[in-house]
Amino acid sequence: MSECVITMKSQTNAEAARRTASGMRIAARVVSVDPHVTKHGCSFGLKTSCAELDRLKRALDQKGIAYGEVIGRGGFT
Amino acid sequence: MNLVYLDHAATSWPKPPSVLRAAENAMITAGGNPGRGAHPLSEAAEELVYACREEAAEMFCTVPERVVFTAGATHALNTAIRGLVTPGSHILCDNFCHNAVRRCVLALVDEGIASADHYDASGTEEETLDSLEENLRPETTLVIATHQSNICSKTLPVERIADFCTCRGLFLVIDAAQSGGRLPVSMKKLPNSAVCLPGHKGLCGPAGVGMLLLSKEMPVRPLLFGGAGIASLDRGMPEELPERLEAGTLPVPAIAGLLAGMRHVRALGIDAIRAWEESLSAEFTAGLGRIGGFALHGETRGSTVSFTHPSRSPAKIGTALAERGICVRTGLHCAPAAHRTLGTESSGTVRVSFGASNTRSDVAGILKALASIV
Repeated sequence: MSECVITMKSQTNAEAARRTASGMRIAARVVSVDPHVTKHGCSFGLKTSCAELDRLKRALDQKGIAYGEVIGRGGFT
Repeated sequence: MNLVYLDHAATSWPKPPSVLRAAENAMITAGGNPGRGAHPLSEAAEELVYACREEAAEMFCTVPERVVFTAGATHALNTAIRGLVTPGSHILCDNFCHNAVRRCVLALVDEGIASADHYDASGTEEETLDSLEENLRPETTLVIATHQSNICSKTLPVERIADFCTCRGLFLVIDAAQSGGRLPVSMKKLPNSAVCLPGHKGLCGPAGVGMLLLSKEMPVRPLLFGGAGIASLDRGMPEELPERLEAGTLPVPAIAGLLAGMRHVRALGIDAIRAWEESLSAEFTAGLGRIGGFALHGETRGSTVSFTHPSRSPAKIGTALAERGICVRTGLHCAPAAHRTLGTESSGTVRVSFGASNTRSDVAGILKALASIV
């Protein structure tokens, strides 16, 4: 199963997103995102199954939790 | 010597056992730097920090992202006031303000950044709003309100002041150092507001952490600059809240203690705490009346009572009480403006401030001591 990372605007947003995923029984964890991935340097992301991505993004949109682009394997440590 | 602690307006004591355990446990199980990595100890710290934001958001009717951790109420007030004032601004501040507000405002005046005036909050709610209106200038941008005085129990109508400010496009900064954990504070009823809270008073947490709660309209600029864990390449602090206002490492053990403290307060119930503290202060003021000769200053219906006696100075009364193991605070309580308002600026007062942990025997103890001192 492939895994994707949704980049998050901040660690607080990342934690809020992780809790949202947990509430939906979607396995997800907060990961560091390499500095070159965004224009701004260090950031955080939420790593989860790519199959769950759309469901999770809908939930984040509903809760108003801001997120950035989705990256696939690599680009994170 | 058994201590009778009646200085809760300075800081709450003793801390609930759950607060002590939480602070210690955080250093063991959540010892990483929150938001500075994704390893297990950093994650544990971030989860704990977020849990505290979430608890505060529930308690004060806001969202976790708008709960900014600070070093205390003074830091929160400085951040809010300095972060909202622009050159040429006029600030209106009530006449019960603490030096955490007064000195911050005076520094802005001395630096030539802003001008400032007091409005009179010593009367009724209507009179307070009238005084605000009378002192408004075209260049007024910021109003500051002491939710509850730290030398008596005077309480300002902050929700009505928030409405006043919203109608006129003004920002409101609320000093909730004494009211947090004692009076209901709902950000839903405080638009255009920044609420500044200490963790170690009514919320029963450790010293070293406070909170700045921001309504969504508040464009507060950072007071401190430094690492935020994100956007490292940018020149300035990140745009996102709360990180924009949280440069440097957060005090995770204190935040863990604050989380436990807020849970303790919410489990007891703010209304029940306030009712208990008011019953103790009512019993105390009635007892002072029976002894005779004491002058009460300001509002006494609340957790904090200020008094003087013609036969002994406040400092001498405080010293005599301390020698008997009774902890109160005397002097000007870092609030000279409030003492000026109450006419006690020259001598100060003796301040007795009750907390949820006090008992009727504490009241009996201080009354017995005072009867023997004056």
